[in-house]
Amino acid sequence: MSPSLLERQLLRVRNGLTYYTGLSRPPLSQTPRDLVWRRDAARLWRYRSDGRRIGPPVLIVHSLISRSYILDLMPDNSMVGFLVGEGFDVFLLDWAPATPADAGNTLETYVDEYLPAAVAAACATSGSAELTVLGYCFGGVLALLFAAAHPDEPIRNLVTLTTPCDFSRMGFMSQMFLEGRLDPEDIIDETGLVPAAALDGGFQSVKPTDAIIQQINVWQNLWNEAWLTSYVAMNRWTRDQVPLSGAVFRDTVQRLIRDNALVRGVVPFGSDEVKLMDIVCPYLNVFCRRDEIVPPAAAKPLAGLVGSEDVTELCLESGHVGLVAGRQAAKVAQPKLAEWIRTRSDPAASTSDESRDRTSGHGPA
Amino acid sequence: MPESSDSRDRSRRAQGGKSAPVWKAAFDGVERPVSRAAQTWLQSDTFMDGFAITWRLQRRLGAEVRRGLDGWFQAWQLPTRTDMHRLSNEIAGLERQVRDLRSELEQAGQTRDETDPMLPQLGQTSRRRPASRVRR
Repeated sequence: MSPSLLERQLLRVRNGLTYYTGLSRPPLSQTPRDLVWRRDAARLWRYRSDGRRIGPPVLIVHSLISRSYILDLMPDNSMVGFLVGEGFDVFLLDWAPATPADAGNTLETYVDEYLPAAVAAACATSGSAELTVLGYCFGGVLALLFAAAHPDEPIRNLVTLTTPCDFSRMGFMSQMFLEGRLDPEDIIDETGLVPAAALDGGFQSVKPTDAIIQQINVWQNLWNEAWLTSYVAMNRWTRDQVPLSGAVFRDTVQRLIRDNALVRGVVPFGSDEVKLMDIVCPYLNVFCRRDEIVPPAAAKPLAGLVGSEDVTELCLESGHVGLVAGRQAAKVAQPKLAEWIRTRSDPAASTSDESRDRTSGHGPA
Repeated sequence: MPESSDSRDRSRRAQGGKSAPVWKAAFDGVERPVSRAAQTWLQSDTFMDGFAITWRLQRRLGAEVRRGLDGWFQAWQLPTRTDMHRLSNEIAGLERQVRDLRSELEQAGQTRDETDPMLPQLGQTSRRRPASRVRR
């Protein structure tokens, strides 16, 4: 039953005190996991499970420009938790915030070095010969390039979630570089990295009135503790950007934004090039109608660019973050995603964790 | 990252599907056209040109201020921001060399494993690169 007007005001006072003093900090990323492999900033986590019933394992490749705890935000709001509960063996490849030592990392560093090693480590750990690779946002770009550049890698299925392809449709941030108004060197700092603050500013500029709208929504729902907890967790993530390697940023601006190479299907890579047509495994492209970071027009062309015969396109009614976290994600996106992967997987002999003594990780990465 | 469309949905659900209070409805009535106009303005050539000029100017001014401060710090024989960055970059360079050495060691270990399968495995997940492509 909904509280009375007076009760709401009292709840507003109580919740307002914890919120505005910064005491409201919900614990994040609570699904138990083990660090199974690490190299430089690349980290491979395996989520613990008492019943892995579906094979091959799912390897989630996270974006380079945000923190991975959005995929495991809170116990009742976790994409990873959902997949684990469905019986998948879930691995997450994420990246510690880039340091000056990572400033020289190019797209090739991630696609030709870290990803193959992480895939090998995931296969070795799980004992599986294949993987389903799932890339979120810019992690999807890495997953696509990896699948195209390494056709011999054991990828059973490939999934991209809100992954940009046509960078000319990406709005303000890409327009600033597309027409040469800004160059990468205008953004990269003395350490060779793109500062987190610059990325945050870029994202905030996508919707300039967002900060006001959010404060109004907070005031309206301040009495509702469950809403406030979820909001604080989500809001923490949206402002929690990480620095990006300057070399990757240069690559992104030149190859992906100015040359718009992904939408042409051929990306200059190393001394050669990679063709998206070389991706022949089953492929699922998920994008969202109300996504303001990666608009549907920027993500939609991918399905027509790969060489797979089994291509599925899924357009959902949510925003960029709502795809992986929130009620809409739990009700629609995650079940559809799990169903697509399940129908292209095999029942695996039920396994549970034997490696509880490994380095365990909790808390936001 | 902006999340207003998602947070607006959450907000609506939090009200139990009830219609928004009058003040909120009034705010929404104003906010939507204002947001649309702001986004259109943000995408305009005028704004983007102005933003780029301001950004570059700010960077240049920042560099000038830092140069002035560096001179002042140097006069007092104190470490400057530039010194700190130089040091940080040198350490980063060393770290990169260590990474490359480790990678070479792992590759050597892998080659040794391939030639002599009886030797203990080293660098099971070492860096692999497609034979057909070479790094630029």
